[in-house]
Amino acid sequence: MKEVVIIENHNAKMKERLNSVLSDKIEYSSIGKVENGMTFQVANIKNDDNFTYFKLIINNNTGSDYNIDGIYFKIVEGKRKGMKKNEAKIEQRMKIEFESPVKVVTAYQKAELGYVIERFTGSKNGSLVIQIRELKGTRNPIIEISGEKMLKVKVFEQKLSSNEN
Amino acid sequence: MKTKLILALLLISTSANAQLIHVEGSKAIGLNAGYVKNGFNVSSRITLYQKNSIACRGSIDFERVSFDISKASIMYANPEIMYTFYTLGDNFFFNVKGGILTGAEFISNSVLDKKKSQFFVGENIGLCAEYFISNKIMLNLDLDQRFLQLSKVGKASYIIKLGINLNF
Repeated sequence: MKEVVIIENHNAKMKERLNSVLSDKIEYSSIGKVENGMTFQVANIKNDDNFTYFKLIINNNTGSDYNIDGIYFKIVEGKRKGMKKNEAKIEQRMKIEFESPVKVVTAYQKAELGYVIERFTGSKNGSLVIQIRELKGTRNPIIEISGEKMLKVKVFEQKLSSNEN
Repeated sequence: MKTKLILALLLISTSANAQLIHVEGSKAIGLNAGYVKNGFNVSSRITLYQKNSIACRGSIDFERVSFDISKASIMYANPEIMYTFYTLGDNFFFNVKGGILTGAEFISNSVLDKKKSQFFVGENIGLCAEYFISNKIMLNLDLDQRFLQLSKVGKASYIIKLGINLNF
């Protein structure tokens, strides 16, 4: 019973933290991609002791709604820039713990999306890859965030696990 | 009028909020003023940001150089490739670059009252610093060494350019 309460507390705190990340001022302007009339921006990243929180901004400058089919977060290690594509590398797909309910970015509109993944610290030579997939479409941007940038993200001062007592 | 101006500024700042800088797919157009030995250079350019810190840039340059009794007006195109090797924070980018030059020079001699035009080609290598003062406006400082073939003006020269760019 106590465990259930702890998990519920964790989830509530996690959602609260994601909301605070969503309401934060844009911190990054150089992480994202512009393609097919769409702008995909990773605007904020924040860590706590268990999770990493993301704010993504999708700006749809086209006349077609953008329906999100899925989003993948992947840690990539051991792949050097400019080297052979088949060089040995490690990829770890991260589990999404929580995501905001927005699934459609309507034509000529902007949407802010929040995601929480389990925290995983890669090396500065690695990277975090985010891929968004479109339902009924082929606008599938891949955004790469350097390991160096991931190592320098902001943190929530209070630990998530310290709050339930 | 004042209200319209305030509304326009608000619109610009709103769109600037969602503006990405220096990422794949973004572009910048700009104007540059440059210093060359015995003269000056003005140019307009477009920068297209590509994958893996690579950007392609094209510029059209006009240059004016003066010698003792001659003057030369030079027009050329300069496509370049840039590689970002260092990033400071989220708005300072340092690049190395290389490109080719192709154009024509028009030389006039005031004493002999002679005019001559000459086609030339060349290569340039250099460094470029980009500083985004906002999501829309970027300043650049370029230092280039140029190597010219078929030119009557010289075989090599340096150029320092300072420019302002609109990011979109």
